[in-house]
Amino acid sequence: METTRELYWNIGHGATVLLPMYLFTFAALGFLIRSCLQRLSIYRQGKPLNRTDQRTVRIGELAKNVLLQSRVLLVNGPGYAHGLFFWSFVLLFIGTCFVAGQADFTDLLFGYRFLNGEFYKYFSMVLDLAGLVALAMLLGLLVRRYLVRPAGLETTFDDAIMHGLLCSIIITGFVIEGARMAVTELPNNMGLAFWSPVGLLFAKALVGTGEHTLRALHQILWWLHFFLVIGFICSIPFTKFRHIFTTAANYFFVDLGPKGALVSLDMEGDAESFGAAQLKDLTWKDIFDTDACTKCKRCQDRCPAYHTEKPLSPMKVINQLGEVACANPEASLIETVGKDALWSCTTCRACQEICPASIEQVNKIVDMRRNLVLMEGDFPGSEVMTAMSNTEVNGNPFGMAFATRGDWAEGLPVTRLADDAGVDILYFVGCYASFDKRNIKVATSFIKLCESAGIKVGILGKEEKCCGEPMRKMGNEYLYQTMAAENIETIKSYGIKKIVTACPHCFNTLSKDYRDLGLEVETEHYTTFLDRLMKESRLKIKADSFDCTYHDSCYIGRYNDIYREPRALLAAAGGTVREMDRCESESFCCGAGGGRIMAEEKLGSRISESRAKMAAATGSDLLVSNCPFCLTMFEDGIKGAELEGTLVPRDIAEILLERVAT
Amino acid sequence: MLVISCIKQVPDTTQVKIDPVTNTLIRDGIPFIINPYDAHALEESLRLKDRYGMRSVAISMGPPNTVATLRKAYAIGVDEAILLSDRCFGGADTLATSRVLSAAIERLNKVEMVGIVFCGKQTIDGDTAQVGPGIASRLGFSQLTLVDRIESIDLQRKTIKVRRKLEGRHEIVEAPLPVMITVVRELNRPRYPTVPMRVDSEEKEIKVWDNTVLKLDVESVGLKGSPTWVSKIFSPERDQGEIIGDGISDPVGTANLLIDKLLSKDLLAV
Repeated sequence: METTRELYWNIGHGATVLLPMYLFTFAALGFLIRSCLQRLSIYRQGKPLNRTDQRTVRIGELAKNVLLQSRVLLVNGPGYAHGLFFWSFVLLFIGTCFVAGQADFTDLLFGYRFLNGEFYKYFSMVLDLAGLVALAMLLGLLVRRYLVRPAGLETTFDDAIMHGLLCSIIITGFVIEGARMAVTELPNNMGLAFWSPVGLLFAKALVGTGEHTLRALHQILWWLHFFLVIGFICSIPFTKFRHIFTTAANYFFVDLGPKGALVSLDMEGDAESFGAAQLKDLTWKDIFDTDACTKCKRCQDRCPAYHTEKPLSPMKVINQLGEVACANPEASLIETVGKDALWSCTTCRACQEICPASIEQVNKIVDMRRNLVLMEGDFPGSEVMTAMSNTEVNGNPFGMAFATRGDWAEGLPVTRLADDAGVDILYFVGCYASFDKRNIKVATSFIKLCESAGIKVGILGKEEKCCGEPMRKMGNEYLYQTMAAENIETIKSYGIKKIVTACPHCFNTLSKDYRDLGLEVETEHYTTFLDRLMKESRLKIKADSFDCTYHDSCYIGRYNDIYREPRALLAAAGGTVREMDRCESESFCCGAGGGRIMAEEKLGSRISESRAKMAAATGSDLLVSNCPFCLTMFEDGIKGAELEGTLVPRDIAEILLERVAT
Repeated sequence: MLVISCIKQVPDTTQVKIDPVTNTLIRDGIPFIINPYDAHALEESLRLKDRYGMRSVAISMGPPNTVATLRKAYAIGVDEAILLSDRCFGGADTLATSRVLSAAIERLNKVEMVGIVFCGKQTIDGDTAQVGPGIASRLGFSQLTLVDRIESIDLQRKTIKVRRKLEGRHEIVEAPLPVMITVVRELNRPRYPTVPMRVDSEEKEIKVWDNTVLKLDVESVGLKGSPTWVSKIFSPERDQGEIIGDGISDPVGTANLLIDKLLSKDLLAV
C-alpha cells in the first residue's frame, strides 16, 4: 500500500472546491496587503530617518530575531512559549504550502508527487507534533493570560480574537485529520497511522461514529478550518497579529548604534521648533515602533519608575503615541503622555534592552522633554532649573565656583594640562568627583591607582565643564551642546590621545555623543582601563577576600555592555560577588539617570531605596558600584531604607586602592 | 503703559573672596550673574506684560560688559533693554546710581507712561537696599518695598495692591500708580529662556544711553556725585565656635541641646 494520503480526501478537487478556495485566499491576501499599505500613510506622518543602510547587517538582525527568536527568548517562560509556538506555526504553514503545492500545482500540472514514501511519514509526524506543540503553547499562554493574569498584563478583545482563532484553527485541523484517519487509515493502514500520533488519538476518539457522519463532520470542519484561516489573514492588520509583519520589520529597521546615542539637534539652523510636541515631530520609525508593540509589558516590568509607583510605563507611552498616530494626529503628545510620566524616566534603557520588538522608548521620551525644555522652558521642578542655570554660569549643576573645579586634586600626583599636557591619559573628572566630598574620595583613589601603575594623569581643572549629560537627558540640548563645544575645544587644544573617566555618564557622552560634535579621542571607563592595566601586570592588586554585591550602572552595563571587567577587578581584589536578582542587563537603575540626579524624587517611592533593599537582600553588607551618581543615590537610599549599618556603598576604585600591592 | 525692571550685573558673590593683603574683592575667575533679586523683578515685569499687555523694559547701569545680562533679559522676553553706561557713571554709590536710573526712567516716561518700576530688594554685592527707594524719592513715585505678591492692579483707577513680606507677618498695601516696587524671592519663579527666544535675543539691539543722552550734571553722578564710598573691605574675624554634644551617639539629645542653645541666644523664634 502506498505511503501517502489522498489530498483533498472527501472534499473533492474540482472547480467547485478550488475556485472558491483560491478566490477567498487571494481576496484575503489582497485585503491584507491593501490594509497594510493603508497603514503606511500613518507612518508617513513622521519625519524622514534613514534606517535602510547597512542592509546585510539589517537582514542579519531580521533573520536572527525572527527565525531564532533571539529577543523573544530573552525572557524564559512566555518567551519560550512564544518561540515554540512560532516555530511550530511556521512548520504548519510550510506543511500547508507543501500540500497545496503538490495537489494544486505539481501534481495537477506535471503529475509530480513528493508527499509519499519515507518523506511523507516524517512530514506527517513533524506536522502532527508541531500542531501539538503549538496547541500546548497556546493553551499555556491562554492560562497565563486569563487565569494566572500576571500583574500589568493588559488583556483586550484583541487577545480573545487571537487566542480563539489560533486555537480553533489547530483544533479543527486535528479533528479533520482524526475524521479522515478514522475512515481511511484506521481500518486499512494502521502502520501509517502511527506516523500521525495526535491525529490517531482524535481518530480513536471518533471510532464508533458512522462513516457517513464522519464524512459530513470532516467536510464541514474542513471548510470551517479554511474560513478560520481566511479570518486569521484578514484580522492581521486589525489585531496584534500585525506584529507578525511590523515586529519583524522593526528588526530590520533597528538602531544600529552607537548604542544609546541620541540624535544631535541642529541648534544653529533655522529650525523653528525643537523636540516632539506633535506626531509630525517624531520620525516615521517612532510611529512604526508603536505598531510593532505587542503589549507584552516586559518594558513595564523592568521600568524603575513604574516599579516605584510613578506615572510612567514605557509600554503605555508607546501605546499612547500609537493611538495619537491612528486617531488624533494633531493631539499634543506631551498632554497625551503627561509631563509627570515624561519627567519620571531615568533613561536607564531597561525597556529597550528587553523589548522583543526592538522598540526605542528612550529617545521618544527625550524628544518630548526637549520640546518642554527648549520651547517652553519647562522643568520637573525649580531645583532642576536652578541646576541648569548654575551649569550655564559655572559649568556644574551645584553652582560651585568654576575656578575651584580642580581644587580636589591639590597635593595629588596629577598635572593640570594647562601646566603640562604631556600625560598618558586625560582624566575627565566630571562634576560629582570634582565637587562632591564622597566622590572626591573615589577620584583620589583612581589617581593613586594610576600612580601605582605608573600612569601619568592629567586633568583639565578649572577648564573642565560638565559633560552636559544630565542636562541633555533632561531635554536641554542647548545647554548640552554649549558645554560639549567648550569641552571639545579645550580637549582638542591639548592634543590629547586618550581620555579615561570614572563616571559612566561622562564616558557614554564623551565616547558617543561628542562624536557628533567633532571629538574623536579614544575614551574609556576606568573599569576597563584598570582591568587592562591589571592584565598587563602594571597594576598589581593583592587579593584580600571580602563579600559584596555589585550594582551594574545603566551607562556602563546596558549602554556599553561592560559587565565582565568590573567583576574581574572585584575578583582580583578577592571579592566574592553575591549577585542581585536584577543584575547585568537586567540591573535596576539607582534613580539618577536621565538627569534625575538634579531633580527631587517627589512621586512614588524612592528608586534608590528599592535598589538598596535589593542589595541588602543578597545578605552582603557591601554594595559596590562604578558610578558617582549611583554612589550618591545609594548613600541616600541606604539611609532612606533604614539600612545604615547593614549596607555600605563603595566604589570599585576605593576597594582596589586598599589592596594595591606595593 | 511701561513696566520697568532695574537690573544689575553682579559677580557671583557666593564665590567672591577677599584678598587678605589688599582688602579688595578677588574678581578673577568669578562669573557675572544677574543680581538674583533682580531676576525676580525682571520676571514680574514679564508677568505683567503677559497679563496686562504692558511693555516691559529692562534697564541697567554698568560697564559695557553688562550687555551680557541685558541680552539674557531679551532671551526671556523683555521688549526693550537699555544699558546706561558712561565713564562718568563709574564709582557711583546708591544716591548717584539712583539719579542715573531715575533720569533714564523719566526719559522713558516722556514717550510712554511708566506705571511700575521693579527693583530687587537689594543687590548681593552691595546689600544696601537703597537704590529702589532712591528712585522712588527722585521720581516721586509711591514706594512699596519687600513685595512678595501682586494682589491686584486697577488700571482704571490707576492703583495697585500688593502684599509685603515682613518679619513674621504680611501686610497688604494699596498705592496709586506710578509705583516703585522692590521684590523678594518669594514673589515668583523666574522663567528659563526658550531656544527661539535665545536665538532672537542675539539679534536684538541693546540701546546704550550715555551721559550725552541723559545729560546729567557730571558732578551729580559717578564717584563725584557719591557722598559715600567704600574705604575698606575685610572679612570679619570669627570667634572659635564650640562643639556641643555628640551627634553620632546621641542625635536626639544633641539636636535638643542645639535648639536650647539657639533659643538662649534668641536666634530661634518659637
